[in-house]
Amino acid sequence: MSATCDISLDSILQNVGMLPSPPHAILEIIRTLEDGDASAETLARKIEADMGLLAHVLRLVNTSYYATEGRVSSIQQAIMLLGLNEIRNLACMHGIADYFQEQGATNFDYKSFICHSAGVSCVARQLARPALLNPDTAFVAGMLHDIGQLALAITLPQQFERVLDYRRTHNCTLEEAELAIIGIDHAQVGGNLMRHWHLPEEICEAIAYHHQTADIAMFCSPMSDLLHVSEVLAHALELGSSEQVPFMDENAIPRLGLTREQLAHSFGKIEEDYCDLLNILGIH
Amino acid sequence: MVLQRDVVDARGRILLRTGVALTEQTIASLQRREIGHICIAVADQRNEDELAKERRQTVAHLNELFRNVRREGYMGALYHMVMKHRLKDMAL
Repeated sequence: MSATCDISLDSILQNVGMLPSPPHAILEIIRTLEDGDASAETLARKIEADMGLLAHVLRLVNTSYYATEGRVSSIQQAIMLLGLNEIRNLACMHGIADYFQEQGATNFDYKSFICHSAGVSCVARQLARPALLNPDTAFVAGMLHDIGQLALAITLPQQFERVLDYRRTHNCTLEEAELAIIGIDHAQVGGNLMRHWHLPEEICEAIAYHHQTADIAMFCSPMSDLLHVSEVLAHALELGSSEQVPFMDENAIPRLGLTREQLAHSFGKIEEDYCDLLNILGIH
Repeated sequence: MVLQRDVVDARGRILLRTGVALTEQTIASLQRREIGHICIAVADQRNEDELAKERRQTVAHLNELFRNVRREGYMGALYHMVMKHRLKDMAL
């Protein structure tokens, strides 16, 4: 399959690297995932450094979903009530969803994009536990996994439009269309962008290989296997809009140590989590 | 009206258990605690013809969704697991 776009891969990655990054506070909060000893105080300080983020997290914590009996007026109080991981996930989820919407790409369906990202996050978090991986890292990786699509839509709008046309006319997956038109897919672009933003390598690699094929599977980390399986399951369960279920590397599930029964039993809980997440994000 | 999912507070404490019949008093109590939504069990009123039609539509929809993958090995298993999950509430 040869690319029909006359822009070099280096140039594409350079363009993508110029995309505005999310607020510093969000990147700092995501980086705390690497620090197993991150304290409540450290997290609270990072959230408080961004007044907009602080206000949004407090607003979310005070919604009926969390049923907080009294009004929560500080991040320290929120962490005490709901736990450090829940507050970190809330801050990341909100910051990432906001960042996506602020980018202003034309011809880009933000709602579907956020719904799909939320769906993959829910599957990844649910399957992370039996796969003995960190559910919070899995959740954030899920939220960010398709960021390469957004980067391509913003930095190469005309080519991305041709990618969407190609997918429609050839009845293929988005990544096949990207490779045919641009010569690089959104997973590689997203992985590069995450490295450019100095996010944890576990997340960068997972995003870069979430559309893995069997021939590169030997290089894939457990987190990229998890994201790959989560992507397929999110499409199969139609969490967000789904046109077709993509290819899945057959060996990814046994590599994660998951059984078919564990997958089947997780469906109901994943769907409940997904509904809850959309409620929290105010998406209906 | 019967609860289909436990209602819990932010600390995970169960306020009302699945299966509890909701009264005006319990609904008012949930409102006072600002519980915005709950899941209730609704009696299935679909007849056999309607269920059969929904099953056919579900099967056709999933076949379309899985159209470009070979239904063998784990993909085949996934197809059948999702089908079973989707059809579980449409038993004749």
